[in-house]
Amino acid sequence: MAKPMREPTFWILTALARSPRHGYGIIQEVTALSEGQVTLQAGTLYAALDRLHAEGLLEVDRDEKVDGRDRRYYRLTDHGAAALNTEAARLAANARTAGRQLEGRRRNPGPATA
Amino acid sequence: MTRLAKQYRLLLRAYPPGHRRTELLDTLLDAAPATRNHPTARETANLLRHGMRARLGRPGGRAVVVLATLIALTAGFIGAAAATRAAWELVPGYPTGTALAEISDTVFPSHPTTAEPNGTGLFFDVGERNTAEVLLQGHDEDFEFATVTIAPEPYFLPGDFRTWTATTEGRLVKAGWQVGPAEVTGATTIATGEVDDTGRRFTATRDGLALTIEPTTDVVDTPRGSFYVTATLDRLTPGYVTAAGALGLLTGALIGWLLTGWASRRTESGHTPARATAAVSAVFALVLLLPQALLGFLILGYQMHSDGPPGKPFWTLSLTYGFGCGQLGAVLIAVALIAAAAARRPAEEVSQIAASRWRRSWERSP
Repeated sequence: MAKPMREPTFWILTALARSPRHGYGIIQEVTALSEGQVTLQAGTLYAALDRLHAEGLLEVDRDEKVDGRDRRYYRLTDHGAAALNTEAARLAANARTAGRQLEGRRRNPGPATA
Repeated sequence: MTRLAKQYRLLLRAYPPGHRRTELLDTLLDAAPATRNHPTARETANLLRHGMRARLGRPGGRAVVVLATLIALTAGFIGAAAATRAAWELVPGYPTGTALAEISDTVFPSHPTTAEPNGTGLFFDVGERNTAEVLLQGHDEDFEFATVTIAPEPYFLPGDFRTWTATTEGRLVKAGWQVGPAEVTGATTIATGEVDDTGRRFTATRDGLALTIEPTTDVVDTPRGSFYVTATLDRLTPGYVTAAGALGLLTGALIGWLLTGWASRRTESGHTPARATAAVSAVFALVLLLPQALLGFLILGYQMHSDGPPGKPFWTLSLTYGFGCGQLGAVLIAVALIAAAAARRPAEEVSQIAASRWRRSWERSP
């Protein structure tokens, strides 16, 4: 069974799921997708990108020069998409389990126990 | 280039040379609000932390972080010892002439005295080894800071040592010394732990000097109604020596970390003989050197905690019992670095550095 992903990893892969993005693009997308709950620091982002690249979950899409500045775009690999899919399924299963438990509690509130 | 960009570029030097620095600069400048003039404290800490980690290469690897931490600790110990040793050269020598006579007269008034240093330089080595001998075999086990022993002639004073101790303490206080409590010395009965009260030992400090005075009746041939006594002058560790040691520790640790990072990145790709040689040599060198570093730090901590003179330098073990291990450890570190230098650098990093150098030279050209 795969290890649960760390939150920044999950959001970076999620941000790259639809299209390749560069560093700042990933930060913006993660902030938007997480509804402001996760704001990646640049150092944290690139450490995660290095690690994910080494693990084969993402790869370099292209290099661009914008206003004289280097910009590198990253894209999800098939392996990365599969890992994200597995993690999403795990989180969904967890959420379903928690939902079922809460539903049971609402229907049948038992006596309080210590 | 804006001031913010310049400050980011400075911070990004924590990262290894290559594409990553310019890529991060682009991201940081894009993410910075227009009103920002300086990197925030959080950004600074984040970039330094991840930059230093990136120096080690092998993203996601934990072993290299552990190895680099232990090597930094060992190199920090070596740096601290070297800096402390160098700083001790600036510490004023023992008093001589009238200054020394004033101390002798305070402790032994109206008695002829002798004052003998036990070493010609900063340290005392019973083997009196020269530099070449020290480099080959280290110091003798008695290696310590040199002291000056003041004693009355002929070593024995008439009277009761308890009364003499009390009056001497009074004279020292009057002369501006800070006098510590006197402890009872003598033979100890092992069964009961009881000390046979045959002497005293106390230390007085003034102007960076420590004077340890030990009257006792235990010495062979002590005439009846007399006692044997010596006063030993030591130098206390000045604050600037401790500060130099701390600076040496940080510098050594940084050099250790950066060298580990350099070797790690050069041997990152593939399972080559160079990679195996570098890793095995570094680990064996640590086995030999790390215990000495940890013991040295323990001794340093104890010395910083105590108010008295250091007695022995905190790196003593590395120059006496641990000298052979230190020599072999140094050879193994050299082997690890040579193996890393011989390893082929990853092609991607070479091309990135070349491109970055070419870009810089192109930007500078008129």
